[in-house]
Amino acid sequence: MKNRLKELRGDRTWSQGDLARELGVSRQTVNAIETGKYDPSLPLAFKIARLFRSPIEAIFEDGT
Amino acid sequence: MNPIPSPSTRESAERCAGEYSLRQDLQLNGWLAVSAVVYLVTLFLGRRHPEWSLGARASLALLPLVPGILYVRGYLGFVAKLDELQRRLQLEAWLIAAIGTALAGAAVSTLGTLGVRLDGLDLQHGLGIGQTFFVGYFLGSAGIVIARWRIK
Repeated sequence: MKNRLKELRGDRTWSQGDLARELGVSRQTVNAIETGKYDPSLPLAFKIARLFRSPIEAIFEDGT
Repeated sequence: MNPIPSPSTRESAERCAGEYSLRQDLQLNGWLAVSAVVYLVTLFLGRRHPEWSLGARASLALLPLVPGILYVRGYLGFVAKLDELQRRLQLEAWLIAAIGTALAGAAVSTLGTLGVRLDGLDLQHGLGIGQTFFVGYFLGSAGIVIARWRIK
């Protein structure tokens, strides 16, 4: 699944560690989501969407 | 539109929630190593004192289960503190260890039934408690390395 997490994080000049702390997950998890190696759970996706004040579908794109 | 909140200003070196800790993981897996050591001690004592009662020898033989249970208890607490990705990696590693140990036990048992003997190892009745813990420890550690490598 493609996503705009890196772009959104970059716009705010946040490090992966900053975002990880905001989301309450590990930095590795943020990195894995950004690189598309891990798709977050629905609760985490909602948390990301709330943090960036965007709808989920504006951040995550179904690649299939 | 409300501005996006800035991230908290805690030190970047501070560990994020759910962060995996290799040190903590190794400390936890140390219980399996303790089980193996206890197993060797009980094996030694059991062979040196065949005159002991059946109850005493049975208690001695099952003693390695105690650190094994402590391991399971610690592991459940450890996993509960991890975030969703780290939890999935641990689950993958645990599956590799469980399936690998079961296959190794089945293979050794089959070889033992066929009369194959390995020097210095009594494998006639499959893997013992200590050997099972050792194989599980080894495969679990390998599983963690493999699972973490896959998401790098």
